[in-house]
Amino acid sequence: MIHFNNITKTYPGATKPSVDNLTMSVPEGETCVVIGPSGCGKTTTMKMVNRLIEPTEGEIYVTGRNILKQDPVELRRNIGYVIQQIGLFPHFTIRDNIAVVPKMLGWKKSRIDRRVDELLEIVGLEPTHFRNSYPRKLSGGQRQRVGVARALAADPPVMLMDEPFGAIDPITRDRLQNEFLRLQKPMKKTIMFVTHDIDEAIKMGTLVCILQVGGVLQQLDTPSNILSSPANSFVADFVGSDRGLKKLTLVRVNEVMKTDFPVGRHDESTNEILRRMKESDLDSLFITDEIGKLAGYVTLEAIQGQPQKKMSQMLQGIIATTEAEATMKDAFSQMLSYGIRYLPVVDERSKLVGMVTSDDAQRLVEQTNKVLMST
Amino acid sequence: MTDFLQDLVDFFIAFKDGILYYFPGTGQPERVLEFLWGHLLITFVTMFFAIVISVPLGILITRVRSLYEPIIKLAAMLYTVPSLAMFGILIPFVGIGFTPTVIALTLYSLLAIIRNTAVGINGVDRAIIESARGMGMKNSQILLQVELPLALPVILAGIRIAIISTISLATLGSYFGADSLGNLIFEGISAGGTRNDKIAAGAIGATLLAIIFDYLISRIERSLPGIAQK
Ligand SMILES: Nc1ncnc2c1ncn2[C@@H]1O[C@H](COP(=O)(O)OP(=O)(O)OP(=O)(O)O)[C@@H](O)[C@H]1O
Ligand SMILES: [Mg+2]
Repeated sequence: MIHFNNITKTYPGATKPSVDNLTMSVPEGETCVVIGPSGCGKTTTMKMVNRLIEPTEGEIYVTGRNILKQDPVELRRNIGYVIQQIGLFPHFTIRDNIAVVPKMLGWKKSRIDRRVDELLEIVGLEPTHFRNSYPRKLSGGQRQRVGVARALAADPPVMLMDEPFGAIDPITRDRLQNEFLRLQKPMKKTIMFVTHDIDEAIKMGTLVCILQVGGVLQQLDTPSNILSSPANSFVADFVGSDRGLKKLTLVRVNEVMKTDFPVGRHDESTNEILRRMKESDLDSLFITDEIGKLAGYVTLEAIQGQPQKKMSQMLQGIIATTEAEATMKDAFSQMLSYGIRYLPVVDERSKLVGMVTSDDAQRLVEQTNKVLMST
Repeated sequence: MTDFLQDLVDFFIAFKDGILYYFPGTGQPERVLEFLWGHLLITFVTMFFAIVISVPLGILITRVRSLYEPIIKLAAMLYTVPSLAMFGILIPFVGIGFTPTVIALTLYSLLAIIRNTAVGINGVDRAIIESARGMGMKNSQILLQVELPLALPVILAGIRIAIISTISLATLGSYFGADSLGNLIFEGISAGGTRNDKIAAGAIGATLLAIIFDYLISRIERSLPGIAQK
């Protein structure tokens, strides 16, 4: 889908190339994460795909066509482009920002309006609330959601993303990563994604491409292979000595979470809840409301001998939750930093859908360490 | 201090007398309106040419960097020519009256607008331009839909400076045969101190015009979408 053929880029006046004789392919539907130390040529590599930078030598093919023989303007309208600085137009409403490419493609107003609302829904922004606002009213995370919606507007087959979540706080970044994975699953776009965060690379990529300074390709492989069999010492160093822990990044919460476990409802009687906890030998229990939204939890200690008190009075607040698309590494690090043993898994409507425990994480680390030791 | 206050009071009495002299029932109202109209005409025609010349030049020097220095230097040089000398130079070529006045005032307005146009465009966030280009906008679309609208507050600030200096300098046009509120001032001066009310009426009239235009442009600036809405 995206194919680099002996690509070299030497900037005018530079003595050494920034990308050196790069040959690689990103097959259709794959997310190739390009990673490497600062200045190794990641951005240069990516910008050659939409011709914001022209290669010195070599050819690039996108969907089978040599892009150097294509009109750059037309090429770019078929490639979604997301950058770290987002670059929304401050004088355009959110609707008009998303509508830029569809407008240039000559879509009818009614079709654009429908598409804008659909995209806002997809990226989790309430259309009636956001459609007519200006970017300055949005938080950084919300702006990047709009940035992603804008890139998706005309449904391009190829997306280029240069550190899209790099300037966003860690918690929001996790959430945006999870959302993007959820989006990408049915969309099956061919994506080139630049990052300098190895955890992000392993989480987001179906392929990881590691570059050395000077734009020299070191390894292009699946995240799992990069972790278990680094091609050389540079890759091994880059991936880090905590490869066992990193392997947790390969495991999604939904692959290990428990889905059938006792839960209480906030309108049940204390005695009933107490009976259920004793039955299953639990010292705490998650409580949901009538539509399944996570409301809090109760501990055995707190409710024992308090049959007259209402559930709502004894309910304790949830301090951390995770999502089905999150990695076990995210989940584990949350459990460690909050000092909790059970982490509830919620969906985008905060409904309780599962639970992971610190024992699950520990077991996974031990397993992957054994695998790594034996290889 | 009391001297100053006394002067101020005298000045306003003179101004009131000047206005009363020229306005309905007291003198020659049609002449004041004529001068006011002449003043506005000089201002509008000057600003029209100044904008039509300066904005494209300002854009050009952001595109062709090597032209930046020479064009800004030339405009700055023109700006420093004393106004009497400027008229003196122009009269042999275009005669006296409206034309040399408009040409001179246009030349004085170039610097503020060219420079602010270039500064405004260069000040647009690179990431915004890059995302525009990355989405497949053509250079002309980027200029018209992104760079100029985002540079507009800075360009308007330049226009504001130019319009105020034009209104003030337009009074000089009267000296060279272009009717403006300056006529009142020159008539006052030639009366040798007996008609200070005319000087006051001309000067305050021009100042009021400048204040009104300044206010109108600031209103436009504040109504720009996305930028002004905090
Ligand atoms: N426009 C340019 N002109 C000259 N040299 C450039 C230009 N852009 C990048 N370079 C050089 O090319 C090399 C690769 O730059 P590039 O921006 O592609 O790196 P990167 O991997 O994206 O780095 P980072 O992680 O810091 O974003 C660097 O040495 C940089 O200095
Ligand atoms: Mg970069």
